[in-house]
Amino acid sequence: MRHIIPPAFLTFTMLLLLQTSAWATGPRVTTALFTPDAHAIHAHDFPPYLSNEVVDGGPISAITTEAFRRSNLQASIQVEPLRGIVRYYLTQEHAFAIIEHHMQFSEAEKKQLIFIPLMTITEHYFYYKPHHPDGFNWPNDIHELKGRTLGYHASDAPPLWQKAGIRIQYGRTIDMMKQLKNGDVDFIKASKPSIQWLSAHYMPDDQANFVTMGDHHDDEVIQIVFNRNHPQGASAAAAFQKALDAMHNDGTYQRLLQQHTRSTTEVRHDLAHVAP
Amino acid sequence: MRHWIYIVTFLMGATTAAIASEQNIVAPEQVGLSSERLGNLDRLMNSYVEQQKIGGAVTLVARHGKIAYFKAVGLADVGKPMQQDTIFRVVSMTKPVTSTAIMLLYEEGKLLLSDPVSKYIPAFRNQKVLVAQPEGAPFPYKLEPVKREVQIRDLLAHTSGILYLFLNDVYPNPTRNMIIEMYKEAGITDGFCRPDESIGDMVKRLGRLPLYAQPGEVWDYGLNSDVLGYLVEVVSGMTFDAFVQQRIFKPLKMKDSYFYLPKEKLPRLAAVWKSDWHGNLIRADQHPIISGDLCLNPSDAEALSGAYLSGGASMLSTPYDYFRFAQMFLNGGQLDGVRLLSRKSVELMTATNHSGKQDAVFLHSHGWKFGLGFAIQQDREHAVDSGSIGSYEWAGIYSTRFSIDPKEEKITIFMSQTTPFSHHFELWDKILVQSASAIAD
Repeated sequence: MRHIIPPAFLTFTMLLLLQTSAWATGPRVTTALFTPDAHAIHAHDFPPYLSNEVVDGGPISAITTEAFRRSNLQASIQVEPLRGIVRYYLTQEHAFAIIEHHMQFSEAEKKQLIFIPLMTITEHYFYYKPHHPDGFNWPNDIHELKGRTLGYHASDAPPLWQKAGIRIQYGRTIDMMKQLKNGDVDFIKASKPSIQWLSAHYMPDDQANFVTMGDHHDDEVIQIVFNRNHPQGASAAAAFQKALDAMHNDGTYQRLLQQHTRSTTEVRHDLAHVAP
Repeated sequence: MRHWIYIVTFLMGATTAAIASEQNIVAPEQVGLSSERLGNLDRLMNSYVEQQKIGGAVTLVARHGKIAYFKAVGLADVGKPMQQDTIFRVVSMTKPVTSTAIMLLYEEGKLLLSDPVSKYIPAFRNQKVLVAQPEGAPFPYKLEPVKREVQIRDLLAHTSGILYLFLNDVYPNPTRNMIIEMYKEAGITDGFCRPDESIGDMVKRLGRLPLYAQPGEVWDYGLNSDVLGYLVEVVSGMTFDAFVQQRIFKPLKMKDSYFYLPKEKLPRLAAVWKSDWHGNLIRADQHPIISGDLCLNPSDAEALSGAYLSGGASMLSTPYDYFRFAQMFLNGGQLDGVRLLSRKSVELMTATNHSGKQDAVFLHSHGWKFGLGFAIQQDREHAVDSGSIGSYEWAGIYSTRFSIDPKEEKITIFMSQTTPFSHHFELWDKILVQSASAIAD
């Protein structure tokens, strides 16, 4: 009995074999393996609030992820090392959403964006205790700081500082802390949890040396910004807001916040701060 | 009194003889080298010291596994003569050691050279390549997805698209400038001024920054060995310095090689000298030497401990120790009965086709390819002064250099501690010419 193998079957088998052999080496280096299917939410690395270096990505990551889960939206946070890269994805690649604070937008840009506050943090002014054994408090008149250098992690310094003759040195908070220790800057602005986390990780011997300049502080709002230029941006924003409100009402928000932060005065969900 | 002088002289002679015996130093003629011609090296080195172009140096020439020339000239520090066992910052000569560490793990099946780096360091997932946009464009750059992930081989061959900051001054262009600005903003440094953090923290930030070019498409000298050093930590579960100490320095009996010197060896560390190459020679002080995007901090080498273990820059060593390392390569992966690498791995590391058509034009000119840790002379069609085809070599930014000539079974090592390094190409080339021209068989 003769078995005749149809040419179509042979071709199919050969293709199958070839494909198997290609898979033996191909997938190890393909980018497809690592490309998430979910929408990417770009965010600036900001420990301990949002960072790959923190358990569960930090409180912002935990809250945002839960809100997206409740909204039935597939989204994953992509932590970027620089604020400029976050802006690039938002404005040039019309990213679905970003998480930001201290980012400046033009009026035209604001019209294309939907801002939802996620968290309010308190930023204090710190000095380095060994340089000022007798203390260094925030003065009654800001002009008394004329000629001093402030280390700041964002490029949106209020004009008031410069008008008062304060020089401003921009950089990552950890770099500013090192410059403060070296005497290259006189004081820095950051939140207490940031200073505590960074000093514990990178400057453990100096944890007690970063001291606040009295009670003077500013509140900063961290927000998720949805992009109307993305096909799902507006509808996702509405669903996200609804989920966030529900989390606030049923206590999930507070529970997640307390899981990640000890202080409810330094970090809170303050709905009064609706930006922009 | 006179007896004491005789005794001290005798003891010094006996010690020197013992060291010489351990170091296997022979008369040049025994290994086919000319003593007379090697004398040219004496004259060359002495003239550079006399003209105060360099503070001092040690030069070593070995052939057929035996040292035939090993001389120290000038000063190791103010008032302190250079010695054969002076310890040097070998900086980028750390890279071949780091490559060897990776090849040890490769031979053990712990990794493949074709593995994406992201398999071990997740920060390298979904990398982007920066493409500068024309002036007036809405945004200065565009980020394009990588066509393929950066592989371990790319790091070894410097084809990953990762840069060094200091070359921004040498090869400026808009794309490089933008990436270097991003490096600075993200706190990435070349590691020549040791940052106060762990190498892993730096590498994880670096992995999330854009690449200069698509992986595999451009040869560009960069922080690749630093990433490899951290990769050794991830794969081996050991700190990089402990791995290198246990797996490379100890078996090769490199007794004076470290990432952080023990206190008792600090007096043997050479000082760094700043030279204008015209007779103005100043000993560098405790402050970093900053020139454009280059930061050097000679006093980093005086730290007794630290977290930053750069696979591209942190090693301290002696000419003799480095000779042992180089001889291991020349022997096809083994030294004194201890096999570190297989002959096949050494062949792979010294192959000239890892970087495609890209030449390794930073230290050398065209005609040199980069293997998996050093540059290899590929042809004689270009302006090359010495050495056989197949010679492989690399250098360090404080003016150290090694060259291995497999055809002639010859090793040349030069160590000085002078900055800026850009002056030293001429001296290095002359040393290699004189080493080659001493061959007399």
